[in-house]
This record gives sequence, structure tokens and C-alpha cells, in this order.
Amino acid sequence: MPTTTFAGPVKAGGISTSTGNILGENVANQGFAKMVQVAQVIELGHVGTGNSVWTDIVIPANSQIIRMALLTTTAFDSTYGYIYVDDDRPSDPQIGAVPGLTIGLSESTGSLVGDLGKWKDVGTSDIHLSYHIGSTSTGTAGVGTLIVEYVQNNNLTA
Amino acid sequence: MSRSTFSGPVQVGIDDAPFSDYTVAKIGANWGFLKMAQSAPITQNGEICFPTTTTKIGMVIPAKSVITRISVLVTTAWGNPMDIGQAWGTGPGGIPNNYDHDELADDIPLNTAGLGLYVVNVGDTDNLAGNEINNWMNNSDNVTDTALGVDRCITTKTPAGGTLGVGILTVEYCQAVNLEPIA
Repeated sequence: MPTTTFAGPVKAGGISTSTGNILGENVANQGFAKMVQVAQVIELGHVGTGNSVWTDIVIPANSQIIRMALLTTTAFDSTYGYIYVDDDRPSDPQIGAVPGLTIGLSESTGSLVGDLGKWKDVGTSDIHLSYHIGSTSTGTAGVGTLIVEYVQNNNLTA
Repeated sequence: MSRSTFSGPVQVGIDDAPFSDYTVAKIGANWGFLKMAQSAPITQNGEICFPTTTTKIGMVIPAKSVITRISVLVTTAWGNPMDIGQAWGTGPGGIPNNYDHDELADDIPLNTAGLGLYVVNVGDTDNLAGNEINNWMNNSDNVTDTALGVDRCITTKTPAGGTLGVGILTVEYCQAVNLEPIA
């Protein structure tokens, strides 16, 4: 299947610029297309902060992360099965964590969102995501797919 | 950075995709809608909160859209629960003169959620008045509202008191799906 590629960000809405104050006629209503990147996460032996693994996910500069999830297809270590997503290798604090303890889809919500500032705006440079698993994972062979959704170059300044 | 802009809605797919109904081979469209998002910084007394004397239009969702997800990135804890609603019409200074402050979510417990990401869920939408839940299916055509089929401005409302919360409100939607027949 062919692929259509844009430098982005991709925006859509019938009114691009506000020229008045009548909704539906002259008030801008454009939104950003939500983007998603996915990467495989594998637990092969202990994946600690010292040997964290790069993913193929690179988030463009000034983007807002709005969702991080893990589709676990083989459960990770039952004691330490949290996948910590970093923007460096290693880094601290991590951007967020997702539980991989049980098979299925898990979300990074609440306090699992680590670096609130990075979720709001990843910063002025692209960030390359890596991951590590628990502090002393014993290396059961967990497998999952990391899902990161974001708005490209939303550039939230507040 | 460059930018690609469309009036939308943006759909992706092909007209002649092969599929099957059980064992019957068919050819048909497999178009899907691009999922859109708008975000804005909010505070308990910020610009897009209702009611304030400085309320302005911040997030405007095109008419006949399906709202698929609402979340709040809480960076400073809220002092009270928050409602999310919609506004329409035109008043002085560009402030919509009609609104329903809780037609999308009611009493979101941001005061107890702690810092981090809060995703609006069934517990925040199971107590909406009447058929207001229909606004998620069709943001502009709730029969209890006027100005049917017109863009909607997103509003938030939090009673004063406690710490003044700070966060990022994100509304995700599919533009102009137009589910008028059912909502």
C-alpha cells in the first residue's frame, strides 16, 4: 500500500483563522491530527537503567504527548513488570511508566505519568525514546507493544 | 516547521479494498477518519473556564464531530471537582452567550486524582442530565441546545476553593462524522 507522508503538523478544520466572533462562521476551529508511533518492547534478561534499550520511536520537537499505553502479549515479570519510558539512555526521571504485569492493554495514567513537563511539551529538540524494566527484573520473557500518541509541534507554552 | 492544513474532515483509505463477509468475497471502501485533538492550558480561574469575566474562546470543535476522548494533565492539584461543557452563540467580546457547563462531564474528581494524567471515564459521564451524553456522539446537535449544527466552544467550570488547579485539557474527536440520525 502506498504511503502519504507530510512534514506536518497536519491540521484540519473549516476555519483556519479567526476574523470575528461567530462560531461556525469566522472563529478558527482547526485541530491537530493525533499521531501515533509504536515499538516492540521485549524483556530479555534484566533491562535496567544501565542497559536500557532504544526504541524506534522519535517524537518531534515541541510535541505534546497525550497517551502512552502497552499492549502486553506475554506478561512481564510479576514483581517488577513496569516498563519505564525514557528520553535518554539511561535517564531519570523517566517520562512515564506502563504496567506489563498482565496480558492486555494497559494505560499510563495518574502518577504513572512521570515527567509532566515532557508530556506537555517534549522540548525544543526531537526526543528518542528508550525503555527499561523494573529495578531488578529477573528476566521472564515479557513481550509487548509500546504505543505513544502525540500532537506534533503543538508547542504549549503555558 | 512546515504545516499541512486541510478544511477536513481528513479520511484515509481506498475505495476498492477486498474483504469478505464470511466466505463471500467483496470489494468496498475502507476509509477511516483522522483523529483530531485540541489542547489548552487551564486553571481553576483561567480564560476558558466558565463563568469568569475574562472568558474567551479557546478550543472550538467543528460541528457534527464525535468526541472520542477527553483528558486532563494535572500539573497542580485542583481544589474542587471540575465540569466540562460546551458553549455556543455570540456575546460581547466574542464570549459565547449560551452554555451548558456539564454536558460532557460532571464532577471530574481532579481534587483527589493527584498529579498526572486523568482520563474522563464512565464515572464522570453516567450522571449527565437527560440525553446530554449524545453530545459525545454529535457535539452540536443535542436537542436540548439551540444553534444546532454549529461549532462548539469547550468550557470548564470548577467552584472556587482550595488550591487553584493547573493543567492541560485535551479533547480528541473525529471531525464532522455527522451521526445526526442517532444523535
